Amino acid sequence: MRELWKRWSSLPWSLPTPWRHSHGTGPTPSEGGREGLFDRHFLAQLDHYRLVSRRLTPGALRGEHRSKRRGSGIEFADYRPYVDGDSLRFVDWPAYLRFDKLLIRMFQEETELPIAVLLDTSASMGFDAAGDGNAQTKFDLARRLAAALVYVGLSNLDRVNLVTYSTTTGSELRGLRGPNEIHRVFRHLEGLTPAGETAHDRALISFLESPRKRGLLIIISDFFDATAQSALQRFGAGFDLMAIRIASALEEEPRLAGRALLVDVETGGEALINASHDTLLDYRDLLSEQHQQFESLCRKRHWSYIRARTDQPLSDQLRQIFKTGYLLR
Amino acid sequence: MSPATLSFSTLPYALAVAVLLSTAAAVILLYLLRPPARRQPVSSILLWEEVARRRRRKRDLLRWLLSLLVSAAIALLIGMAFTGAQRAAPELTRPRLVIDTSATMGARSGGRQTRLDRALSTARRLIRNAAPPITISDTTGGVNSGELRSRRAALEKLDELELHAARPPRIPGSSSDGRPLWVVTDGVADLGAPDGAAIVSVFEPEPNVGLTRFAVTQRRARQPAALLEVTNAGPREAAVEVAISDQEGRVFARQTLSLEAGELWSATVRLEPLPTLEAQWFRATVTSPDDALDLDDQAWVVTQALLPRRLQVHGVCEPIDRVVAADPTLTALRPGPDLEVKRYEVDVWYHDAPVERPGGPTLLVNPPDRPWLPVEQAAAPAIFAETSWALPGVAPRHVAFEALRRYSVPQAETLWTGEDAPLLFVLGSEAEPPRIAVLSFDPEASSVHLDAQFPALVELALDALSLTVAKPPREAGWSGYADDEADRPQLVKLSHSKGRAEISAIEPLGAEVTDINRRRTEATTASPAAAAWSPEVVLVLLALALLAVEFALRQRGYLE
Repeated sequence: MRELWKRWSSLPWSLPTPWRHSHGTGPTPSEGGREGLFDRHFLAQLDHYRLVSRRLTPGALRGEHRSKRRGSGIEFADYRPYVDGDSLRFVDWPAYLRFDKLLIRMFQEETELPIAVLLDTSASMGFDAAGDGNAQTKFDLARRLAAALVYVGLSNLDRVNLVTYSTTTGSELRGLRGPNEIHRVFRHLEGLTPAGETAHDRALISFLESPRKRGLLIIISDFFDATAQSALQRFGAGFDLMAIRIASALEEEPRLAGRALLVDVETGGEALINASHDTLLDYRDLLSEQHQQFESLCRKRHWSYIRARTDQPLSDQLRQIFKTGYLLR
Repeated sequence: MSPATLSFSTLPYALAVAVLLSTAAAVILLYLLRPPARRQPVSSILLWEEVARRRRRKRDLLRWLLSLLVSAAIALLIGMAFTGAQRAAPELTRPRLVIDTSATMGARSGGRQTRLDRALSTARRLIRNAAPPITISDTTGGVNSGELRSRRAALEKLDELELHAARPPRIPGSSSDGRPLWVVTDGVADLGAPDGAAIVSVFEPEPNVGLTRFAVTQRRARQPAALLEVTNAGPREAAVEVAISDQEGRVFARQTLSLEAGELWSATVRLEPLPTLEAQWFRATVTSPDDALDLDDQAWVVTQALLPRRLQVHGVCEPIDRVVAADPTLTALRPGPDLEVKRYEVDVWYHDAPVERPGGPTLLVNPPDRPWLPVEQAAAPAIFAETSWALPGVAPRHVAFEALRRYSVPQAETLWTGEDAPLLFVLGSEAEPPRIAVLSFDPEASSVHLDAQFPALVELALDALSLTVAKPPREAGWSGYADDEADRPQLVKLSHSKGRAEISAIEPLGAEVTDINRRRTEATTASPAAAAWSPEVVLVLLALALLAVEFALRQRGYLE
């Protein structure tokens, strides 16, 4: 990994603006007034993680994930008796001399992990709850997390697909493999703008309709959609799914008082509420209830459900993601 | 208002309601003028809509519970409001209600309710606290419902009750069958309530001036006169205007009086000569401000039709001729050759007499001695002490009208004797009516035949000889008159149709009608308390109305 890092540092291509700024070679932070999406420390943290999947799926190319399959790897796994047709190349001749039996040496086959990262780009993801333009939006956090996960996957030589969606699937970077692709990913994420309504059912159906290899599926969204849970249930046991729910601090703990006419930034719909103490308690209860429903759904299918907040450090949230078992040191 | 009494419960009812309404209006105004909701963009209203739905469900549940509590409170307070009535009226089971519908129950003053209206309100309160079956009846026999099986039917039966002025009030079916008897009356009439009956009084003293007597004397075609008696039965002095008119609308007399409380005023009024022999009526009217009872403010008298009578006059009699000339009902016939074929009702002899005792009605004026005529009667030996006239020119006071009217005059009964020694008597027997009247006086010593009294004497004699006798006027103190219902002057009510007066019914009125403030039946039970709307009830009703308004506004989307 450090080799990879050295190679990137010496490459002549231009990194994304925040990246360059964090290295002291570019202009000031981005025009939005925020720090860069992917700074140096951010990438340094990623170097320590490795993304794996509990269900390793054999791919067409060899990766760094150990597979249960015995094959042509370099790490010895076991012996088995020789049968006709086996290549004499794998016969353990010293064992033959000692035991007078033809034994075939088996090696643990290393496979690649197909990773698909689905990023919600609906308007609700870009809503600045504080309204001052300085706070990190849910979309910023989602992009950072997506970049981190893609980066780790590419570092492990896994095949990564980055798909955006709102009402349906949008732009997609397919077949990313190898660390060199990360720059392309950064540019793509920088160019995204949140817009449109969220429709998980239509978007995920659209995603499933295209032929894909099963592997790790990471969905990053705020899941503010009535069809989110039913859409997740469409994924069968063949998928290894990680649902990352992005929430802002004001969504988790709204600061409302008196009568308020709430306006949905996606649909323009309105809801008149009396933001009393009981109302806010009901909201928190309902939010907690929804979290529990997602967790229950994911637990039943051995998936992971991770909550991320915009007011928490990114490193902590990455650590939380990798602690779920998808990341091995 | 002192601080000690300054509380909501001591406020007058209207002021309390006004305070409550003002408070409610202020609350509604402040509610409508509350600041508008602040617009707040959010990522999604998905959760908020669900929160709003849940809170709406909670609020609806709370609202229904609150409405239930308010309804229960209202029912409780209304029940407490009616508790007074239930306390005042003992438990009524199968009651018999008798409502007084006599004439005095129509007393009304100042545009308020009549006594009958108050009695009906009292009866309704009683019925609402009574257990069926209920019997409703009045005191004049107009309504007798029998046993009514429901309160609703009993309440509807009350609407049929109306005043009956002419019938004497009595409690119907006084036989006790063990059912409680409740009588609602003003107490003026003597109802003869049985023992144990609960008497509820709706009496309130009312100002009233009315006619207690009205009569018109009628002596042939002579000038009639009216006897008028007006009583102020009210508790205060009253100004009264009295008028007498005839069926042509002519007003004979009009007088304004001021009567003290309880004062009785009477007078005789000389009327115009009757223009016709037909029956006609006279009307007396009293008018007084704030009079409570209209029923006794007018009275009518119908005079009898006059019958023409023919007199066969023997000899020259100038006084009789004057009488005949002044009375259009009399015709004088002279005996002639065809005397036998002429018809006449009375034979008149002046200073003469038939040789034989006559068989038909005969008037002898100063007859000479005849064998069949008692000399002692013709000599007029008795002189009565009093000769005053009760009604001048009409009737003497001390004539034995009783005997005269009933034709039971004994032989040689003295009818009248004057100071100047005129004597009028009739001859008859117990078994047959008088046939001979003798008018005797001394022409040398008396000028009665030239006096104005002489026509009255002739008329009196002719009445005594006639089959139809005009009734004398009713005056106080005449024995045998007050108990004779048929002899009372008839007061009639008229109904006016298209401006034309017509006699619709003849109903005699008693003097007690005017006496609307004299109580003969005492109350034994307090009137049931009216269900009053307490301020608390009004407050609860206002709260319920506010809830209804809020619910309606919410249903129409004006509220969140």
